[in-house]
Formats: sequence, structure tokens, C-alpha cells
Amino acid sequence: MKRSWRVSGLLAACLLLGAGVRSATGADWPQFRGPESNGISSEKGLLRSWPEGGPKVLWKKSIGGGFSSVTVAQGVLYTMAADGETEAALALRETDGSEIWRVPLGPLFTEQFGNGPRSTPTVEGDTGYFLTSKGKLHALKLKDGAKIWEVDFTTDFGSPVPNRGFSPSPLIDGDLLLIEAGGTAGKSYVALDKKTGKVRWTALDGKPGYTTPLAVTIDGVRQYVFVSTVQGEVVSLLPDGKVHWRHPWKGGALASPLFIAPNRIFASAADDVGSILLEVAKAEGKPAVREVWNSRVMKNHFSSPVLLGDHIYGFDNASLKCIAVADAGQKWVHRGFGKGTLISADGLLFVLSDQGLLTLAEATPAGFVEKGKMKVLEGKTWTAPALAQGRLYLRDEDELVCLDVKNGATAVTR
Amino acid sequence: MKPARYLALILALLPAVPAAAGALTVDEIVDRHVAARGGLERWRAVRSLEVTGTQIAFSVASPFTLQRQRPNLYRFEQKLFDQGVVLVHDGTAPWWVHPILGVEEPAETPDPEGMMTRRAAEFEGVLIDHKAKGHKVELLGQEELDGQDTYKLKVTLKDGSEEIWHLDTKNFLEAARFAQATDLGREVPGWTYFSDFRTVEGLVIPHREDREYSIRHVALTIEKVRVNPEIDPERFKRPAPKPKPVEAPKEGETPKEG
Repeated sequence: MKRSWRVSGLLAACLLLGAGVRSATGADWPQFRGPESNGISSEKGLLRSWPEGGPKVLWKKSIGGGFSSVTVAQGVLYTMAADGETEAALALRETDGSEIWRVPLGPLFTEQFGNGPRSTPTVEGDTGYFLTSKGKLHALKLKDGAKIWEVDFTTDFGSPVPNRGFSPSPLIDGDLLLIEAGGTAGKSYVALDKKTGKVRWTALDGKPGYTTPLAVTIDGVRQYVFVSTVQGEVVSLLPDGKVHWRHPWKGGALASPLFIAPNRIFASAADDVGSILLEVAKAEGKPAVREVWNSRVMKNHFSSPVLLGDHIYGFDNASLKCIAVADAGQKWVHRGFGKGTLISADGLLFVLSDQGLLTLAEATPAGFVEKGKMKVLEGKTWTAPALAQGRLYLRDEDELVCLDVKNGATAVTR
Repeated sequence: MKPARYLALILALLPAVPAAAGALTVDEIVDRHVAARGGLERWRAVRSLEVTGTQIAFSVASPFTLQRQRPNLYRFEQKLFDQGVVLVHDGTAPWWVHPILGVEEPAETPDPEGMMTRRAAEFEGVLIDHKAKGHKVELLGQEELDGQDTYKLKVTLKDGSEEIWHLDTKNFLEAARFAQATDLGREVPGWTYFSDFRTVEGLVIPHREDREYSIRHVALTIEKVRVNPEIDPERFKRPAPKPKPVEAPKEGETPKEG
């Protein structure tokens, strides 16, 4: 009996190893900016520095144009790319990038800065949500890409296609899918039933912007924070669609806001606008919003920042900076990334230059401490990296690259 | 040595103390900057320059060529979105070809871009030989800029516009300039950061410039500098407009005179 238990245990261990055990510290990346919508992965045990030549390239493949980032769930990558005259949803195996399915979603968006999709898909359960640059929002079955429902922002909400194409990524919270649709007549912000695509509510007037909202809880109140690109305000909506609070600001924001627990919101915009730190408190039972500071030290363009401890790391246009949450004081600046992007994990910064140069740095306010770099891509690179299960995913307007950044063993295989 | 002699020695050394401690006059700072860039005489001996390298604009890298000839001839050629852009000062007026802005044929450059080309045409920058050029320089003090100790200078150009220059307090080379820039016809404030200084035939030249203004970033990386090359003067002259094609008369139509 004892022997059979030992055999069973050994067999189980072999099976698990053979299947590729998911690392205890691994994590998926199911939406734009990662599991917490903040550009940070909870993964640990990553390479603290890189050898000459950088980490191992696991695979690289041409996927087509666009700026859609990658989401990862259960060993499958989801993204969008230009495909001839259409924009397509793609499902790829994390092991080798091979295609599982490809579904055309709508006509290709073209413009001088680059063609193809901008939004990043969101996956939850067995469903993925994909928004094309021309405003067609699709819910697809993750298994095979079959359509569940479709909503067209231009016809359903009267939204004009913005100059740079629809760019926000869908936010899923409970039963709701939330997004800035930019529709007319009270249809700027919309909440859909994530299972059916039916409209639950719409709110406020406006034109479509480019930012992705946040779901946060402040003082026990669940709320959705939108930073409007065009209207120039920060808006908080309740799960029933009622306005919780609004704070006037300048227009032009493209980057995602940051939630700084327990009750602060950081928003930033380029073109000499700067950043604001809002604090949401209660006054006579109502939310009271005040600007803690308003600073021009950090002006995020399309690249969203990350919060680590008491500091924000992000791009002031083309200068990577670290600033203090307390007073926006600049701790350091480092140039040479152009219009780069960044994410963080395990106390590290992964900084991708707009020319495809990837740099690993310590995330510390003491200074920019480089721990390795590697030229990964050749073309214009505006899409933020994604990290899941020890694999770092980077794309430019043609190629998608997968790097093994896990310390010690090869990244998880399944 | 008696205390009085010590005091006398200290007093005798006093005039040297401010300079040693960094309290330089604006003229001393600018002189040291000019010396750090290779010296006034060496710059005055330069009659022409040709610089080639790579420009990154809109995150796309492409080659550029910059040609200069005294007193103020200037030609900057680049590719933007695969289209050739030419910015020229012919010594009298700026002209350009800029298909991105709809200027397909050589045309006089309107302001504010014209003003920028006039300023860019200044042969070796505003601080070298600034008095002879009619620019006024004031010292605003010392300031830390991105962790670098700098002298902060206000330069009032001959045309009345102002620029702020930051010079490194250790080597007196330029760290950054804050001045007006243009973004697709809009005048905006902008920073230029200078780095990678290299010596070419005795001239010290920043081989990397990062320009940031509004939502833009332009990086210039110099790969080659030619000092006193022969440059065809025709390069700076604005070509005569191409004659408009004469429309062939339609069938049955009498050609109009004139």
C-alpha cells in the first residue's frame, strides 16, 4: 500500500512536470495593463539582471500591424492585428506563438501614424472582448473565436470614429463591461451586460477619447473612473451609471490613470498639461474631490505609468522619470527611450524604447539602475509589454516576440 | 608668518576666490563655454560644415543631412513618413519643401517655422561670438537640472526672442536649452538636451540632441561631421517654380492667347 502511494505520488509528480507545472509565483495578464490594470505583474522569481545579449528569445513571429497589446490567460495569448483590409482577433499558443484561431472583426483603420487596432482585448472566463479601431466591440468565445455578441459604437451610440481610432480597452467588473464609447446624447460612457452586450446604462455627453477606465473602491463605494481625453475632466460613475463625482481638468489625456489606495487618483497628459493627484474624501455624506497637487513634472503621452511604493515611474513625454506621490518631486530622469513604454514586476522595470530596445532596471527612487538591455525589435514600438508566466511579450507594427525572463528554469510550459 | 601677513595673503588671494568657488561672471562663463567647444578662433576658421546622421521623429528613424556655410546658409534634409522634407535658409530668407504640411514645391517658409529656420541658420549657435551677433546673455544663477549642476543663462536674441541655456558647471558644455519650437504650425515651448560631445578637428560638438516639445520627441544622432567641405552654393538657392503644364486644348476648343 505504501509502495503504491509512493508510485502514485511519483506518477503524479511526473505528470505534473510533463504538463509543465504553472509556477507558484506565475500570473496571467488578462487585460490591458495586467491583472490589476496598473501595469504591474505579481510575478516573482524573475531574472534580476540579464546576461550579455539579453534573456532568451523563446519565439518571434510576424502577426501584422497595430498597437494592440497582448493579454494572456490559461496558456493562450490574445491580441488584435491588421490582416489585409481587416482588423482581426488572434489566439496564439504561449509555447511557440502558433495560431489557434483568427477571426476578422471589421474594416482596417488606417492613418499616417500606423494602421490597425489600438485597443487591447480583455479576457474573462470563457469570453474575450475585442474593440476594433472603427468601434465594433465583439464578445468572442475563447475556445474557438465564435461570436457571442457585437455592438457597433458608431451606429448604436452615434459615436464618431476618433482621429486616431477607438483605443480604450474594455473593463469588466461583475456583470458589466464598461468603456468610453464617446457617443452622442448621453452615451459617452456605456455599461453593457457582458454576457449579452445589451446596454445597461449610458452616461454623459461627449466625444470618444483614448483612455481605459479604472474600477476602484473608495470609502466602500465601488466606482468607475474615466479620464476624458476630449471633455477634459475626470469622472467617477457608480455601478448604476449615476455620476458619483466629476473634476474638471484639461483635455488631452491618453494614458491610463492610476489608483493610489485608499482614495487617490493620478492622471496625466502630455502637450504641456502635466499631472494631477486627486483625493476623494467624504463631506456631509457626499464625495468631495480636491487636487492634492497639480504638476508639470510628469506629462504622460500614450505611455501609462506604474506606481511602486510611494513613487510613480513613467514617461514625461520622452523622458523616463521617477516622481514622489507626496509632492510630485522628481527623483530622477533617464533619457534615450524616445516615446517608450514600461511595466513592472518583482521590483523591476521593463522599459521598451520606441525603437525596440528593451531595458531592465531596478525600480528604485534612488536612481536609474540598469540591469540589462537587449535590442528586441526593429520597427516603431509603441505597444507596452505584457508579462505572464515568466514570459515577456513585446510587439512592434509587425512582429510579436516572447522572451524568457524567469530566473533559473525555463519559463512555464504546459 | 605673523597673523597680519596671513591676513594680507588671504586678502591678496581674495579676487581669485570667487572664480575658484564658482562665482563666475556671465562673460567668464560664456568664455569658458566657448573654450570648451573648441575656442573662438577655431570656430571662426570654419567656413562650412556638413553633418550626417540619423533622425528619429514620430518614432521612425531616417537619415538626415545638415549643411552650413557662412554667414548663414543652411540646409537640412530629412525623410518624414517616407517623404523628403527640406528646410533651407538662402542667406536672406527661409524656404522649404514640406509635403507633410502640403508644401510640395519650394516656397518661402512662413512664420513660425520661418523664424525657426532663421535661428537654426546661425552658424555655430547663439553663445559663440554672441556679442558680435547682437545677442545679450544674462546669468540667472546656478540650478540643478535633472541632477546636473548648471549655470542658467538667459539669452536675448537679436530678434528679441529669449532662450534659456543650461551649461554644465564642471565642463561648461551645454546641457539643455529651453526655447520656442514649432509643432505643425503651432508655436510651443520646447527643451533640447545635448549629450555625447565629441571632438572633430578641434571642434567640440554634441553628437546627440533630444528635442522635446508638446507631444513630440525628435532625436538627432550625428554619425559624421565634415569640417570645411566644398558645398555647391546652388544647394541653398531656392529653385525657380516649375512651369505649370500647359493644358492641351480640348477637341473643338480654340487655344486662348497668352
